[in-house]
Amino acid sequence: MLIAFLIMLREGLEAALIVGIIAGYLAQTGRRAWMPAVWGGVVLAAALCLALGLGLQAIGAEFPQKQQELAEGLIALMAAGMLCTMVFWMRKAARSVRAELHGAVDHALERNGKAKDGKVRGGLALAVMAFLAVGREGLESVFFLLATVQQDVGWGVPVGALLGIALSVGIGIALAKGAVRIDLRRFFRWTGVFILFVTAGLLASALKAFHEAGLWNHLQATAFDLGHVLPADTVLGTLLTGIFGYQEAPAWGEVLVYLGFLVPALWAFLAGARPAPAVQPRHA
Amino acid sequence: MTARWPALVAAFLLSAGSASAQSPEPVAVTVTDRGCEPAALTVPAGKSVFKISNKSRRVLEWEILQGTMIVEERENIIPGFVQSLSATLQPGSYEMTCGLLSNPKGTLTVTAASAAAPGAPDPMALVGPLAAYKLYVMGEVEAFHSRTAAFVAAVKAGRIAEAKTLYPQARRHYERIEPVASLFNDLDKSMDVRADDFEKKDADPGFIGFHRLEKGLWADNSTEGLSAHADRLLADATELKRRIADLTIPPARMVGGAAGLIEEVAATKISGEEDRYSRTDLWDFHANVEGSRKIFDLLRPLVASRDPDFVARTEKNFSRVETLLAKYRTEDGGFAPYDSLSDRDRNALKGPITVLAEDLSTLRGKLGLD
Repeated sequence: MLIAFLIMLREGLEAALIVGIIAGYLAQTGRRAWMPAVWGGVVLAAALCLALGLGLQAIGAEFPQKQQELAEGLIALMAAGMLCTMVFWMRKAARSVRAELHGAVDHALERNGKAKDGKVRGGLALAVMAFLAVGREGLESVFFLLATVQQDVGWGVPVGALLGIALSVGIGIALAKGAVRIDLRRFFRWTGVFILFVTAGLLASALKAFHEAGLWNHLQATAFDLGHVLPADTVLGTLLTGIFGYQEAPAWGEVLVYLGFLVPALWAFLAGARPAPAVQPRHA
Repeated sequence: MTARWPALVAAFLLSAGSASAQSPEPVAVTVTDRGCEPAALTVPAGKSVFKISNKSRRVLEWEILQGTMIVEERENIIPGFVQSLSATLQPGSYEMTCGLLSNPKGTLTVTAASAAAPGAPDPMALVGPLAAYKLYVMGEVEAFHSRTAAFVAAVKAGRIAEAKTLYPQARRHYERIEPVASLFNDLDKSMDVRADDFEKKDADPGFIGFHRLEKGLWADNSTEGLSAHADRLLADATELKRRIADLTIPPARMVGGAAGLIEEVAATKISGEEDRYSRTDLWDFHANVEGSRKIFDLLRPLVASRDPDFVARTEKNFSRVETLLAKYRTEDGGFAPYDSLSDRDRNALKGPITVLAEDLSTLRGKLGLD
């Protein structure tokens, strides 16, 4: 039960984090009107995954992992790109916010979007991103759930799996709500740093996905093996995997991508700002 | 990006269709805390289904690797679960991950043979028989060419009786190596085409080759107007000899030829349609059986160790057919005219020939060439 719970928590967490951040960001910047679009993206992705899973199951087909990995890798790259843009826009906006007021943010948002339709496009992009974030993890989850229900391993496993999803959704919601309570400047700063970690994890997982899709085979020697110290299927391991992209035994390529993005991005994000908030550089 | 989804759906459904088409016997692998059981697997090339049981305490990711490349994988197999993974694999050596990184990797060997032929010989084993067969074919095509030259000379000189004697003698060498000779469709057609294949039957201007000359010699009892056809026939025979000299005989062609020769006898020749003017059909039958027997003899050592019963049975069937044909041998080493055989005689031939053809048709599968 615990392991099924952790697997689904891990699968769900990343999607929940991204959707939660988007929701928090929309709430903070007074654009709650866009939330239905975000929810639409989430529901559409979930429904699509479920339909695909059930459909393939019905015709007795197997899940083609290679295509899935390729899609996951591409989506991870896109998501990383969008998150990164968002972070650095936030950093710019945070400066002007220091002066004051939400009005300034709105102004900044509009200036950034250049025009009204630019704003629309920005909102749509967020909805698409929510869609992709859920779709990315959704397919594998659906198949895992189907296998769980079909194999006679007692009720504990499917229940654990569902609890895992529920908790990841809860974390996403808590993140969005919590984000509403802190002031905008701190929100931007904290989520910015946090998003950079998520983005680094996404980039490393994109590389891993491309490897698993058979497109990339370099730098595949194992960098370190923490499998005995901190297995990814423990509670802590699962949380670290979902949030920071922790791998118990990453390949050198993944470590290089992770650090190669995170270190300069954090430096650029924090440079010139006031003393950095206490961030433990807990990288995988 | 959203446009990827329809494509993805299509890809899933496509691969789904092929996945449900045929399901080979699953190969079971159990992964424990210490490694895979068994740690070494051998499967035939093509589609395999692996049933992976996770008997370890950790969540598994089971992968088939070639070097660092992941060929296939199944993720998130939780302890106590069995997940299946189907993979279409090329022959070669692979590794499989067996749980923890510190566990030894298992080996997966994919053999070139089909599932129907466990322990089929490696392709190199065919090299010897193929070389011997090539020599045989070269000798036959050489004899075919020189006999055809003599036959053509007799036709052109108007020596009808001599030409009639030479006709089945020349054809015999062609019929022995038909699996190889018929690789060259253009020559086969121009030398061995039958009147039935033409709109105006034997009056058609396109009707040429051996059977056109046969018609002239026996039906018309004249060599008038045959000179050009005779020249063409010899030119074709010369060309065949040249092409066969350069030819690498495809293994499947040689092995399949053993059955092909006999099947043709059983399917069409037994009706007596081939040499309808000369009635020398039995010469052709016999040559076909000889050609088939030659291939069988060359392959016998390869098959004998695997399926001695098959070898013994086929041996016996060959003898039966040969004994039956021997009944119609004439004193000069030739064969009785086919129209001297009663329907009962023909039917007596048909049974053993059909059995022989059926048995020989399994030869390709036995040697892993299907």
